[in-house]
Amino acid sequence: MEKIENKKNGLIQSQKSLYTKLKRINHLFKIHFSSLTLFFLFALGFIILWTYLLVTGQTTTDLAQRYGLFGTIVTIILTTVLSLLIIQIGIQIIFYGLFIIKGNRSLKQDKGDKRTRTALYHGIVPYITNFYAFFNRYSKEKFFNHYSKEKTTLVKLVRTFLFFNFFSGFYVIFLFTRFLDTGNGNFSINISMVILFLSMLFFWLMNLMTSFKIRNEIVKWEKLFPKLEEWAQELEQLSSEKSNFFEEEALL
Amino acid sequence: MTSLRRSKFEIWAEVLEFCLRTKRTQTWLLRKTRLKTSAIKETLQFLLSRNLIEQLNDDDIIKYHTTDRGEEVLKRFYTLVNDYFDLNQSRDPHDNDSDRLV
Repeated sequence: MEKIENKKNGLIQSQKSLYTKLKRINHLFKIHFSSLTLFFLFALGFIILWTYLLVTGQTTTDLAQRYGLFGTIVTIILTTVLSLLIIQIGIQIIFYGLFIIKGNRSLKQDKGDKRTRTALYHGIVPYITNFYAFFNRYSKEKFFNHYSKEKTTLVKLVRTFLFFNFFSGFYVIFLFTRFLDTGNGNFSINISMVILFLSMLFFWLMNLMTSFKIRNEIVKWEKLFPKLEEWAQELEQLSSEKSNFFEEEALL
Repeated sequence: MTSLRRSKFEIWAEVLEFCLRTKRTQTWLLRKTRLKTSAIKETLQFLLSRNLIEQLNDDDIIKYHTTDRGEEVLKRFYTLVNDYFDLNQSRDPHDNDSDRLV
């Protein structure tokens, strides 16, 4: 009887521990998603205001004033990079959003359920399988020729996002600090642009931090999945007899 | 996500978890796992043959429930995942050959 209780407690403990960890990971994804969305919205507001000022000729950038045509070209490039950054952030929002919606749906705790025998937490396996499906979707082998092939993994994709976020974000934010100095006659537009710019800067930094953490998490998952495949193979090898090879582990 | 993309471990672990707390019918599992009838039958047959789930007759309705052995297998699954996310873990999770099921 005591053994059975130990077993059940062990299962609850494992579930509880895993549930807490998955909740933490899910929370990280949510923060990342929120920072992406907010950055996207502020950047969108900023580019709308910026384009309006450029088109109406209400502002002349510092570079344009100093270097003439060269400055104008840089301004156009900068606006283009900001637009690309916004598009790319939009793609990332869809990318992470699809994962988070499914993950949130699966990971729930039944607090009011009195019938629970051992499983106080559920949705752990669906959460893992959701992640696995996500991995499978992005892990494809590409054959360049007969001799070389390259595996595109989710880790690579996340690293690419991180790389692009960092460089294009840095380029945009660094150069805009120069442009914002020049200002224009309209005080309210000036203030709005500064507020939008500072908000962008804040969420960009936040996004970079969560991106690094997510990359580390995804590397862990990538190593985990082959082990889970092994778990399934070991299950296949199990005999139908009632053996006690788990008991030693349960009693520990 | 289609069933074709899912591997064995996903389906088996999912069924074991679904039947852990409540007895489930084949139809319920079919709906929840989004598998084909043949695939869910095959899965249930496999888990029954390994004594990981048991078949119960509840008011003339056949239901499935995870056995103690199934619970242990599921616990092993949770532990495996746990090990990878344990921040204070000192050992390398790849070196846990002693924890194998068989």
